[in-house]
Amino acid sequence: MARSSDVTQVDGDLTITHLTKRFGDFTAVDDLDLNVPQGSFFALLGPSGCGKTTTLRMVAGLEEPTAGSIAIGDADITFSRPYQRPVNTVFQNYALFPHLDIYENVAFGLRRRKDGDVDRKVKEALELVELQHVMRRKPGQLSGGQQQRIALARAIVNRPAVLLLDEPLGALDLKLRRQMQLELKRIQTEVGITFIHVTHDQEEAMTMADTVAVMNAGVIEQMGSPIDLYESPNTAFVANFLGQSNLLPATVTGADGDDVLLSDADGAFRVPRARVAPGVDVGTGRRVLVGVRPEKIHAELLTVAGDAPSHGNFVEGTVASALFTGVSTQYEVATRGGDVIGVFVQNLRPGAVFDPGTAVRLSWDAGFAFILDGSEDPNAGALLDDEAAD
Amino acid sequence: MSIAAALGDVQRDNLQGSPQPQRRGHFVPYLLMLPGLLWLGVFFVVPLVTLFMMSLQTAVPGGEIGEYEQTFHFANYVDVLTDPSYYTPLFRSFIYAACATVLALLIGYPLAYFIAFKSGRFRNLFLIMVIAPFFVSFILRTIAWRQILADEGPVVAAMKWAGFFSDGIGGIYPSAIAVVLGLTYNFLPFMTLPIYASLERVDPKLVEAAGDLYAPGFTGFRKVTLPLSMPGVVAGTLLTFIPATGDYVNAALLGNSKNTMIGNRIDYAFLNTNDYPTAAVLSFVLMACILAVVLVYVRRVGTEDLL
Repeated sequence: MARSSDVTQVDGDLTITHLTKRFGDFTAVDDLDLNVPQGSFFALLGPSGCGKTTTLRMVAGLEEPTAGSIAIGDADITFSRPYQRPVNTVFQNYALFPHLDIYENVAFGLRRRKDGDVDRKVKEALELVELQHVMRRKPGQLSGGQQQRIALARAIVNRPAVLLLDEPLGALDLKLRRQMQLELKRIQTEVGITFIHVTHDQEEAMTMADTVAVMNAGVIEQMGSPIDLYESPNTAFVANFLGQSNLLPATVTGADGDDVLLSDADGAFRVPRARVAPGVDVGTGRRVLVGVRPEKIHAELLTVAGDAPSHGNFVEGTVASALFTGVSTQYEVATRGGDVIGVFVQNLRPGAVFDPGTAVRLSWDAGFAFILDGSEDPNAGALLDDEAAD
Repeated sequence: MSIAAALGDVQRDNLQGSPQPQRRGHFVPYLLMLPGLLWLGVFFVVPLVTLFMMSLQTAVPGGEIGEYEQTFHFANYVDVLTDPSYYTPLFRSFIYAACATVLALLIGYPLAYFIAFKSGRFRNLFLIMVIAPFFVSFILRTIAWRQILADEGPVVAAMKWAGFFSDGIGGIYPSAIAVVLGLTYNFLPFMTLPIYASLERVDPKLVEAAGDLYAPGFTGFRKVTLPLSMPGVVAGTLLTFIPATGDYVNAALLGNSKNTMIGNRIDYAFLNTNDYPTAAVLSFVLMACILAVVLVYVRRVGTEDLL
C-alpha cells in the first residue's frame, strides 16, 4: 500500500491534448484539446451523451483514453492510477460511504494517505461547508443538500490540484440548486482549487463558471466566458443550447461600411461585421442565419404601418401565443414572411400584455444580432435542451 | 441495507402517512399476522412446551421401555451434562459446525463476489448453479461424497499422487474431515446467497469513490465493500452454523463412531432407545448453547443494525 501515498504533488494548468475515447465504434470524445488555467472554475456543458462525463472520468483516471494526453502543470497523468493523481471527484449522487459517519467519510482520503493532521483538516473542511454539527451522523440521516456538501468536503479535504464535479447539483430541487450554486462558487473562491464542473444545466454552468466549454458529439463547439458564449455564439448549437435564440435564414445582399446587409421574406436587416461568427462567408448572395435573442427584441403595437424604426431591423407579424411568467411575458410571433419569432418582454407595467392575434412590430438594435453559417440546422441544440431539462 | 435500516424506513413511512391509515382500522396488520402466528403457535410453541415437559419426565417404575411419567425431574439435565458420552458430541458439533462455517465463508464469499461483480450477463446462470444441488436429495448428495472421498476415489488418489498419503496408510472417509467437508458442501448455498444479496446492493460508485480517495483494490474492498456486505456475512454464517450444529446426516454418512455429533445422539435416544427425556434434554441444551453462541457472535461482529 506504499504506492497509494505516492500522489503526484503538482499544480498548474490542466492541459488536455488530442484526447480521444472510443467505445467500440462509438467515439465518445473526439480529439479534444483543452487548457484549464489553475484556480479557475471551469464548466463542461453539454447534453447527455456529448462526451463530457467521459472526459471527466478520463481526467479522474476512471477511464483510459484511446489516444491523447492529460497533464497537470508539467506532470503527465494520462496513465496514472486514480489514487496517484492530484485529482478528486465529487460524484453524481455523492457516493458517500453509508457505513461510515460524516467525520469518517471526510477523513477517508486523509487516513488512506496516513496524513498526520486528520482531525484538524476534517473539522476545517466541515467548517468550510458549514456542517460541523452533523459530524457523527450517518449519510442516510442527512438531506440531499447536506450530502452534497459532505461529498464536496470529502474531496476538498485532500487539497487536490483539480476537483472534478460530476453533475453535482443534479439531484437537488430548484431552490436548493440555486443556493448551492452560490455556495460552490464561494467555496471555490475560498480554496482556490481548479474546479471542473460537468453539467447539462446551462444556467448552472453560466452562474458558477469563469469559463464554459460547450460540448456536443464529442467535440467542444465553443469555449469562453459565459457572457461571450451567450452574446456571441459561434454555432447554432451553442445559440440554442445556451438560452434561446431566434435563428432566421437570410441572404446577404451586400455591405454598407462596417455592416453586412441581408434580406429575407420579412424584409431587410443589417448586422455589424464584428458580429459575424468566425469562418462564416458573408459574400453577396450567401445564405446565412441571422440570430437574435428573444429578450433583445422590442415589441410594439403595430398602429401605423409606415411608422417604421429608422435603423431598419424590424419585422411585422401577429402574436400567435402569449405565456405570462410573472417577470416577463413570452410571445411567439408569426411574421408575415412565415417565420416564428420568440420574444421576451419584461412586464414593466401591469396589464400591458398583447393578446394572441394582436398585430405587432418587432425590432432590435443591429448590434444585438449575430450571424451564423447558413448550412447549420437552425434547431440544433434546441430540442436537446428540452430533453436535458427533464 | 440492513434489516434495522429497512425497518427504519418503514417507521418513517408510517410517520409521514400516519393521519390517514389511522382511521382505516389499525387491526388490519394484526389480521395479516394471524396465520403466521397461528402456525408458529401450533407447530412451534406447543411442541416446544411439550418437549420441555418431556425433558422433565422419568421412567415409570416397573413400566415398559418408553413409558414415562411427569415428575419434574430437573436432575435429568445434570445427568446429561455430566455424561461425557453426551457433552463430547455436543462440543464436537460446535467444532465441526464452526469449521464448516469458516470453510463455507472462505469459499462462499469469493463466489458471491464473483457472481455479484464479475459474472456479467451470466449472473443468473451462476446463481442457478449455486442452487442446482437442491434439485437432488440431501441424502443422495451426501452419499455421493462417500464415493468422492473413498479410498479408491479421486480425492485420495490425487493426494497420494501429491505425496500427502503414503500407500496403505490414511484416508479421508470416514473421518472428521469428511464430516466437515460434507457439512461445508451442504450448507454452502446458505452462505453464498445472503452474501450475494448484500454485495449486489453495493453501489459500484462507492468502490470508484474509494479508489479516488486513495483506497484502490484490496484496501477499497476492506474499507468499503466488506463492511457493506457484513449483514450478508452475518446472515450467511448464522444460516450455516445453526443448522450445521444440529445436523446428523453428515456425521452418520461420512463419519465413524468417533465423529458422532449431538444430532446423532438425539436421533439415537429418540428412535433407538426410546429415551425420550434424555433426547428432550439434549435438544434443549443444544438450543440454549446455539442461542448463547449466536448472541455472543452477533454482539462481537458489531452489526448493531441486525439486533
